[in-house]
Amino acid sequence: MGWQNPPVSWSELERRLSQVPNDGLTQPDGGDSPAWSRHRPAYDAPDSRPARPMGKVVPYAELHCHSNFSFLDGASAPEELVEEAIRLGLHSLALTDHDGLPGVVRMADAAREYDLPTVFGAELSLDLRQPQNGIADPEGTHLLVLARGTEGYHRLAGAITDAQLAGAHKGKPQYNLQALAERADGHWLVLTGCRKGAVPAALSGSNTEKLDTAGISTRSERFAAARRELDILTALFGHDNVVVELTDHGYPLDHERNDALAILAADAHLPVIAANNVHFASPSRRRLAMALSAVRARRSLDEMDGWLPTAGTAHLRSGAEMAARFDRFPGAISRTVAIADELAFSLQSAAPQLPHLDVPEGYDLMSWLRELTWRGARQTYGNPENPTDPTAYQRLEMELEVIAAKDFPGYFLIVHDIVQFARRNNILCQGRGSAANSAVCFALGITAVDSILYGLPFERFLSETRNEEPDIDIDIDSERREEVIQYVYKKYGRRNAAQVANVITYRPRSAVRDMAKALGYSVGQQDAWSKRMDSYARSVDHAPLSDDPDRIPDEVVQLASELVTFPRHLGIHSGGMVLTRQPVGEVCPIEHARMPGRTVLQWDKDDCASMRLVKFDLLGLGMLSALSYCMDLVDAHLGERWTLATMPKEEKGVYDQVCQADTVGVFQIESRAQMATLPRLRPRRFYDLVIEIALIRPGPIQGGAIHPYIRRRRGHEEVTYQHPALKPVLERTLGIPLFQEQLMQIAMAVGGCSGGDADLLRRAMGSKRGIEKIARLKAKLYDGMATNGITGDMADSIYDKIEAFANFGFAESHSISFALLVYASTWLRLHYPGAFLCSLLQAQPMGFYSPQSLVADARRHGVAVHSPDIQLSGVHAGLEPGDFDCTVCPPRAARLKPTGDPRCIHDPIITEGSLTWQPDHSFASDEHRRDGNFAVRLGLQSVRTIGVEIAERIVAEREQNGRFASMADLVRRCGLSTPQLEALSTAGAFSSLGVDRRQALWAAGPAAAERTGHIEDSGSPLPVPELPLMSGGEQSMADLWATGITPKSHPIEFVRAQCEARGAIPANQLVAIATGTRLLVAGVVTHRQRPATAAGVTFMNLEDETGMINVVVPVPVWNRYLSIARESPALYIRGIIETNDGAVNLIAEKLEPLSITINSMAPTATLPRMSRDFK
Amino acid sequence: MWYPDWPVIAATQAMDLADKPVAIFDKGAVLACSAFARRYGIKRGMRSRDAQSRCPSLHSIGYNPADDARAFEPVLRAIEQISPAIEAIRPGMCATGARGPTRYFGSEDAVIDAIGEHLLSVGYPDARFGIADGTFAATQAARVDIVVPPGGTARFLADLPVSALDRPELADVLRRMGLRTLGAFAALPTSQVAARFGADGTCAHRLAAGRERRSLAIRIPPADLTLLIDLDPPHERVDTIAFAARAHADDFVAALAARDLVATALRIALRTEDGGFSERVWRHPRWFDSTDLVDRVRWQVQAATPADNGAAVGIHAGGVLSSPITSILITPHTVERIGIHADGLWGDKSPDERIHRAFARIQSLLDHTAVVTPVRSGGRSPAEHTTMVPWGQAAALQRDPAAPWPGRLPDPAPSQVLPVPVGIELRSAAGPLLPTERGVLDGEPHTLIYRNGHTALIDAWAGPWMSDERWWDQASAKTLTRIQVTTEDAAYLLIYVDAHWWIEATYD
Repeated sequence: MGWQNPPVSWSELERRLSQVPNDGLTQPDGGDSPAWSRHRPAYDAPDSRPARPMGKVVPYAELHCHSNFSFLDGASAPEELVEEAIRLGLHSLALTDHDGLPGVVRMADAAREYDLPTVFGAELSLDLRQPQNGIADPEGTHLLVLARGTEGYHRLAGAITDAQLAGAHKGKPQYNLQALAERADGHWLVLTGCRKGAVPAALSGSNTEKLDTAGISTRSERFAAARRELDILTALFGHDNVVVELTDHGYPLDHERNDALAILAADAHLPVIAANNVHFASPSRRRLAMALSAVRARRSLDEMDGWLPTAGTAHLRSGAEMAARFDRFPGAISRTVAIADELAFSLQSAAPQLPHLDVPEGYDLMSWLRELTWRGARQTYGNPENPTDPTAYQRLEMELEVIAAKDFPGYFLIVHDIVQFARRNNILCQGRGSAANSAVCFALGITAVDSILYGLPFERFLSETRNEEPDIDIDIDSERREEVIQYVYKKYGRRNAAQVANVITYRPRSAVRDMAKALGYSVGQQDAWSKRMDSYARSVDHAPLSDDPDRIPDEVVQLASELVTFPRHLGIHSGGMVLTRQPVGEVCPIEHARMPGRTVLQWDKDDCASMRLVKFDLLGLGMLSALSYCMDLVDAHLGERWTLATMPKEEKGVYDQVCQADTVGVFQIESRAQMATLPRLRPRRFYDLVIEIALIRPGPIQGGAIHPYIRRRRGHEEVTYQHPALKPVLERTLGIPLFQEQLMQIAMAVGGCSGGDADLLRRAMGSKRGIEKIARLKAKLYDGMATNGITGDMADSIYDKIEAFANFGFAESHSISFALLVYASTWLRLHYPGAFLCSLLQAQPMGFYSPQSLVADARRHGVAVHSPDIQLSGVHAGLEPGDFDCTVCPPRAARLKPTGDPRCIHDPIITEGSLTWQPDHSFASDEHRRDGNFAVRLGLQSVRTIGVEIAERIVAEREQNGRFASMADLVRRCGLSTPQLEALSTAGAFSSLGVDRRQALWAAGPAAAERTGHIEDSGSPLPVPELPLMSGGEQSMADLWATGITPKSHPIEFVRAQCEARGAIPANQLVAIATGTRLLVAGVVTHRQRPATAAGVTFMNLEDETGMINVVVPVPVWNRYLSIARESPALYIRGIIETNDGAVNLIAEKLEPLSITINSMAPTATLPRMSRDFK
Repeated sequence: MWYPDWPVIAATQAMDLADKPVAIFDKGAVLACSAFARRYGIKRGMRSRDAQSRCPSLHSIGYNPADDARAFEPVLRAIEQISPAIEAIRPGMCATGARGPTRYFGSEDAVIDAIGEHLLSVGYPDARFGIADGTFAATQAARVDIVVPPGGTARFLADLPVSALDRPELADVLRRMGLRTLGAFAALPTSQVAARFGADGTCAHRLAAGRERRSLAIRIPPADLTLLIDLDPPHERVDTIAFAARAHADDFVAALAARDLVATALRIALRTEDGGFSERVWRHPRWFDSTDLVDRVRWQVQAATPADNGAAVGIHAGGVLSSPITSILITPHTVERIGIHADGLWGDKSPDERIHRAFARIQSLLDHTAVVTPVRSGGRSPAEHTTMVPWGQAAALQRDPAAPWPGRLPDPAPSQVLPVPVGIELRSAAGPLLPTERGVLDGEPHTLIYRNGHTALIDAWAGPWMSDERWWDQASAKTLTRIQVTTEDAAYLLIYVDAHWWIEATYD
């Protein structure tokens, strides 16, 4: 799955797809679904493809070169270095980043494009005492190692892995020179290195350059010391494996040092070579390199001045340039070529294999997979002789053949094993990805999507023609993902399993921040300027308003735009694991992650894919945690046990609710943008949900552009196909391409492309590079179309569509898996709204809405919610009988009869994929509700200052030793502080003790003085003075302060009279108002959002006691009411209503603060801010 | 009396920051800010990071309590002239008993008018005043600029919010109890308040009820060790100013000596007729006697006046004084016990007294900068390796001599660095020679052509050494290339900068 910002604008895309001119707003995309992830396309040459120089060049290979994967040191990407090396006509190029090989795959991929021979190595930092970030001049001695072929490479990777892991900290590898030499065993070539190499360092007396310490030793002493260091290297690594390296960066001392090194080499009969200790491709990167060194040292350039390499000549040089500099050392240039020829190898030859798997006696991998598949199939489809679905076994057989032909059985077996582990341990998980939606995966229990039932053809997901590794991601209950990861480590061993890295790259925000810091600006200024950058933008766009005193200074913008996309450090990918037969650490170095106890590969997922490492994504998904909690709660209180597979499919009530956009809290389709599409799309069957997920693009939806698919779905437009051959490909999406898979299928169906060609075309188009490659593929595509009789305008129009959609479509395979979770969460919410609310509250933080909005929504669905109580609450929110006597029954374990219509479960009304739903369709969710005998009790954890740990302590104590007799008793048994008691009092958590909130608050002072060992209640009983009685509004405010949730009422209720007087319309009445009407609304602000590059338009959500209101704030309006818009917790907004197919937006014209400051204001002076802003 | 935003007023006295957003920061938070800054939503207590984030062009000034208090001193003195017993609550806020002055001036409003007018006359307009029973209540009254009639204090306080107590945690709990005003809090029985909130709660309760017990902590004016010399009429000539200073210098030193003190550092502030201001701290290797003091005044005047007043080159720091000087304020900055500075029996480590006397004498004859001491400093060019520090002044090095300074020229150092580089032409056999972007010259150095047209052939050369320095700071940025060349009879360090070759230094 890959997705990136489109190279064409949305309106343009829409125009091409719908073939009608569109004058709608240009609304780029927000991409607020969790499945949009970034994917690095394969290397493509830039448009101005670098070419080797004409004529003869001096042959030269650069053997000492850092890319920007020498984090915050190198200032050019590996690809840039390769391109520059080609332009300069270098014979070959080495990559020697610090203590690792994180850039080698990118380098190898780029070098392959130009047939540039590659040498791989690393500069090892010996004798580090601590990580070196934040230090002006990093300590330690450097050793430059170049691998001889794949064997040397594996040994080097292994040595780095060992050192990184031995170092116990990220950024502090620990080597042992002796052990390194043993490990090398002749497979490495060692260079004496830069000024920090042992030999040059000895020669300079280590610190001669420092004024204060100059002259601590005589020249001959230093010379002797350098000779000793050189002897150590030759003794350890072998005389034939050591080369003396000369470097000339144009500093006054370079000549003298090189002369001395040459003498040492001659004396020791060692060869000398010239190298440039390259840190960037060309001189233009000089200042960026200095700025980076300041960032690394965590100081400003001013503070760093005394350490900056101001000559800035650490760029790649041509053979001729090097020859001119090193003419005094004959052979120093030509020798690099001989060495490179000897060392170079293709990185792909170092790729590993899948691990060994144990299969029972008598089976091989394939026959064991077949056996497991049959076993699972028998349970679902019955006996093969008499299957429930006649096509089932035929289909399975076909899939197994493909799996056998592609030699993927091992992959499926590993995934099966992981899923089985999760199932045994009751961990909710679900497969996702191209291969996951196969019948085999359904039979193996990897997915609950029955592709045979839903009629999903297998070829879409795994075909013989597509030359791709199978792709199965496993989404796992995020609270328990760690258990699964630990299982994989245990099963395959720490040395053969590793998590892939996530290369943290500079985005415009971080780039602006770090460059502003380097240039010496204050932290607040860094904040302000970085906030102006759109977090999803790819470049530092900057429209300078020269008269704005608060604008971002030009020099910050300049440097930041160079820095964007640079890797900053390695993080852990959210769950990618690589399994290999040989130790992973010998393929790619493993290092410590920042998080204690975690180790991570130095390659990211794309590197691993490029190297054909098989990767399994074990991803944590909050919604699966919520579903898991919900299923457990339903089981405990109603005795009904559901799994993803057993929930009744295609229930009409589910789709009715979805059509009404009644989806707060539901997976994926809950945000305002997503909700807005639902009444238009009107999903009536599972596949409609699949499409909805792909369609969720807040940009075009908010901008009022109606997707051509929706027009066709609603019958406003005829379903047509440009060519009969396109019908099988596009039929399921009514002739409009929606999915990535379809574009490739179009190319294959009408253009005669192979699967591989189609994939290449998509990537080439998406990356906007590689014109040549596109031209070649385009020619092929047109030829293919011509043979199908497609020429002229029609051919152009089809090509146009492919181009417009390249890299833009969502992957169908992922949509399908997500759609199942959409269905499951909607189904649970429909039938068990109380339990579902509890689960969402427990799984926080997740989703689009705050707990307050979730509770308000549940309340509107008839769920009673109670404040936390010291005697009745669990740690998290839970169910308790709606009408119980709290003195008699232990509520937490109560089991009651389900409510509602029993047919819901046993024989639900099934949708038939009809479009019969209308916006005025009446639908009562009460008939479906099964947990109607229960109310929700908020958990103790929700109370400010309490948190999970203390809540657990209180609950455990109560369960072990009985209820609390008094506040003092609670303090004695659980040891709470005064602020904690005061918070519990404010939340009303003592009401079961018969104490009201203010009395409790008064009593909290002396109660907190109780300690174990004191005589009970020895503090003199405190007479409570007469305190003012709490109004309803005050109680609400107290709830809001204490838990962020008002369980009984909505804050707007208390100002409803005032709102009515002003003529504000409640949220639930807006849908009935004609579009174009100008009116006033009032509500609490729950969200402020500015989707990526939405041309500055801000989307705001207001909430009142009747529902939510979507507000669009145009730029001029936002700017006119800036501080009101940004700061007010609640607002009156006047504007024009826009109703479209049941989706309602208010276009704001005027904003006014709505002050909820009647006498209801306790404890804060104003309504606390409840909005989720600009997330 | 209360000055809103006093720390801003105090810190920006010498700066032209009207209509600019200004904030004073203390411990990472906003202590005070200007009205303009408030327009950005900046307020007291906000984290400095958030404030700068709201307004990146904010002028940020670190809080210096000593300066703040010092700046408030003239205000206190001015009020003391009318009502001698005052309590300085904090810089920007003070209290005084109202009864006495009221009897004198006739009414409370008259007192306020009198003080206000007096403050205005000495340059401090816009003060606010409040009168009430007790400091706390008066402070609150000053915020709204009102006079609370005798006995009306409790009623005045009753409507104020509990946050006025300046006890955030207490206020928070009180509000949650439904007690939002001082009146509601005051209405609680004292005994119960004491039991629930303890001693501090009781004290707050008393304040809320307007039953403040504390009497004013009257300020005793500090022993005035500062020396203020008013020059009336304003003086223009250095010698007359020095003469005026001499007349007071002995008293100043004697006043310190009477307390067993000597000054090792002085702050000298000069004010001119048109509002010009020069302030500077002077350190002494030993301690200041009256001659030293007069010299420093003289030097500062010389340094801060346009160079055409004298032959010496001035160090134009601290603002240029361009009109006659009206006053000189000399404050001891660092004082030490006299004993520490008495000569040891066999002398001590400080420079020989006679050397010091001689140098100081030269300085007093010529200029403060006439005697300088070279101090080793960091840097890349030969000129940067030493920093000249005027004799007797503490060295403040900008460039760390311990840093490696890559690109720094190795020894031997040039024997002479030209004070002003001399332009020269450098040519290859083919023509003018220039450095390229890739760090080399576009030919072989062959000939030097001097400004007088003489030429010299180059025997040998080293370099080029390119250096792109301080590009992040427009004022001091320079991109340059150096080479060393030798001719038959000379050796030079040449520098290419601003599109020309120059002789930067020569070797013997």
